[in-house]
Amino acid sequence: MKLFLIFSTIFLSFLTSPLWAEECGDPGHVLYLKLSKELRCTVCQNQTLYDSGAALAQDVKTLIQTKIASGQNEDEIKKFLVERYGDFILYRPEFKLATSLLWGGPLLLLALGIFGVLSVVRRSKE
Amino acid sequence: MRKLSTILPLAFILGLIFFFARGLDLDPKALNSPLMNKRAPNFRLATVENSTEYVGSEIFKGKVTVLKVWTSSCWICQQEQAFMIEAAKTIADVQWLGLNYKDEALLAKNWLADFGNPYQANLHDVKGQMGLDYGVYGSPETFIIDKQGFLRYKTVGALTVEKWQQEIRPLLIELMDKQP
Repeated sequence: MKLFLIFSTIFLSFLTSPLWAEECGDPGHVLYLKLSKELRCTVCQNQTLYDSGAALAQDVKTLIQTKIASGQNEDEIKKFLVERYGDFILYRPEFKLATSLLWGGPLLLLALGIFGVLSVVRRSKE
Repeated sequence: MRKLSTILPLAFILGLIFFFARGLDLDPKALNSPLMNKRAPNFRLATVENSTEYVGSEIFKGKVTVLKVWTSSCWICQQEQAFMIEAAKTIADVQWLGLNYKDEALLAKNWLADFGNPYQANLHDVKGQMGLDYGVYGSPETFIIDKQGFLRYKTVGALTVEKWQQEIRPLLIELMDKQP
């Protein structure tokens, strides 16, 4: 019984959702963190602005802070940067014709996979 | 049915190969500037030569301009400067502007004295404000602006002989021929 309790405690502890720290407080700062984690550093291309220590990333982060302070919202700031640096700066590109394959690709692959499995299963039954 | 099951995976793999081959061919550094064929963003900056003389985007009016982003700490800029000077000599009536990006005036002046100055003026963008508006993310970058002040070309990285002969020079000649 004791062993059962120990094991079930360990097992159940895996089921609890992990704890994480949530950014709270100043909404401007929360938005700043959100944006800097979603925007790409164009110099060191596989890093977000948040991760990057490059001078340009620092500039863009300062710019984001000034824009937030002057009351601009998320979309306005993103639009400002996309107008200058292109969609590439967004880690989560918008859904449009040029990016439809990027967004729809996984679904397409899933459909193909299901089709493949079904056809194999059907054939093995025959 | 059998036919379909052989053709489909083959078509799929060919499709993948096509996309991968295209992906390999793309240069991730060559970001397509969304500013292309739009009016060059406004600016107002002092020059490296004269900290009290301000230049604005009206400088583009009526002239075909080569705008070169450079910094004194940029190794490639230094490497290509001799070629820039030679290239500038081979084409008349083009306005050559330098955009000294996030640099100190003294360092910039010394650099120009050391490596030569083909530019009519060097805009001194200390804070990188103009650079940001033009989507600059490193030096060197080269822009071409037409007589109406529209951005017509951008290239990132060294100005090679190949780029100059195949893209830049022909474009400059074409833009020069157009009436403002």
